[in-house]
Amino acid sequence: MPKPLPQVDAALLARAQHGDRGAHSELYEMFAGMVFTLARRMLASKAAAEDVLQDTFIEVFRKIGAYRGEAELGFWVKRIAINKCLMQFRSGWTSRRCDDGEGIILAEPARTAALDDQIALERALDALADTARMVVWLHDVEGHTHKEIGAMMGYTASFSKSQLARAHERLRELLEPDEAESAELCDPVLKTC
Amino acid sequence: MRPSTEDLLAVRDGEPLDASAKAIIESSLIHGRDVERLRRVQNALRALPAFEPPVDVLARVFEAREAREVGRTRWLRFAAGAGVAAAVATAAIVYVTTSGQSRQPEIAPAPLVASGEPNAPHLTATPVSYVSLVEQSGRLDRLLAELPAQRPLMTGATASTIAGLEDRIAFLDEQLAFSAAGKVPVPQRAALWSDRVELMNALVSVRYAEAQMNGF
Repeated sequence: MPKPLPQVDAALLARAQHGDRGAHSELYEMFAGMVFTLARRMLASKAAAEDVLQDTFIEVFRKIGAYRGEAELGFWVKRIAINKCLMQFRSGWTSRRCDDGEGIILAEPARTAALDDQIALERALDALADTARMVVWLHDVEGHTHKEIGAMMGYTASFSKSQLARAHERLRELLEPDEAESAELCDPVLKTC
Repeated sequence: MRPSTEDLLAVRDGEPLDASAKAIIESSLIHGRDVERLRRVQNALRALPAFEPPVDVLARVFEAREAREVGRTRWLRFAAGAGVAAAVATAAIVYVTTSGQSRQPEIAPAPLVASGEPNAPHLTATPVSYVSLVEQSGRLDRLLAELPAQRPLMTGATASTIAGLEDRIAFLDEQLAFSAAGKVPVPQRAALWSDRVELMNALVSVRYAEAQMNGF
């Protein structure tokens, strides 16, 4: 299950809808981490994620007066952030890859195996092609269906499925190169494994 | 038959799958391990830590919003001034026309000119100009759409200029929609389109310059 979204009480929402700057700051504090993480994971660039964070909250504060509570506020904010990520991606302005070193932890003797795995996964995720990385994040982490992802990205559900499969194949090559190689040779019908 | 990664993911996610492919996956230890591995990767992705957002972004958000509001206020002042001027001009025209008609009721109407005659361009000049303005406006819209998305990190002055131009264009679009529905005569609509072309030209120029500065 995706991580639960922060809950916003009605009084805070009402203040924010009336343009209260303090309420806007509180909403920012509640959702900025979620938006920045989503953007950082989807775009694999700190600079692009910062742009998305700023754009998202400009739009959130501009449109919050029109928010009628059809979906949870966090979900509404997240949809705006996803759209901003896709706009960044389509604009071709995204400075590619994790060029800033942020998020990469250098070797330390006391590092645990779990942390090593996490770092390896982060690097593998960043190394995926842009579309594959976005699809894997939207599907496997954010919990969107292939139909929703296809609609958001302007493609079909089948496209989303094949991108997810490719993403996992690539992740396997990057995370378990030996295993992935032997899997290529393995045919259960011919009993080669 | 070896199941594809798509099939393995369908089993992992409980999505509909061809019965024979599902049977092959579920009856094989190796494929069961593959499905489990995909599940582990998904769980690991979900467990990745959150990133701390940079500290200065909220200030930039407020700054951009204020710049936009300043641009909007300036435009509203301009629009209000222009509205008063237009109202005065319209009243003056109406007064002159109606008083002229009352003084000279016997005046002969100007002769009509057929479109094939030498003076025809005078009659057709407005519609042709109108169509070309609409086309020019459309070309500028397409040009603007081809420019990269607006960079959020820009000076307050640039953001304000862009916001002001966008607001004025939006205001003109509303007037154009209203004038089309209200069957306003072509010359008045042409004047609106002419204003729109002028504003779009300015907006494209600013956005292009901004894009160039950012390495477009």
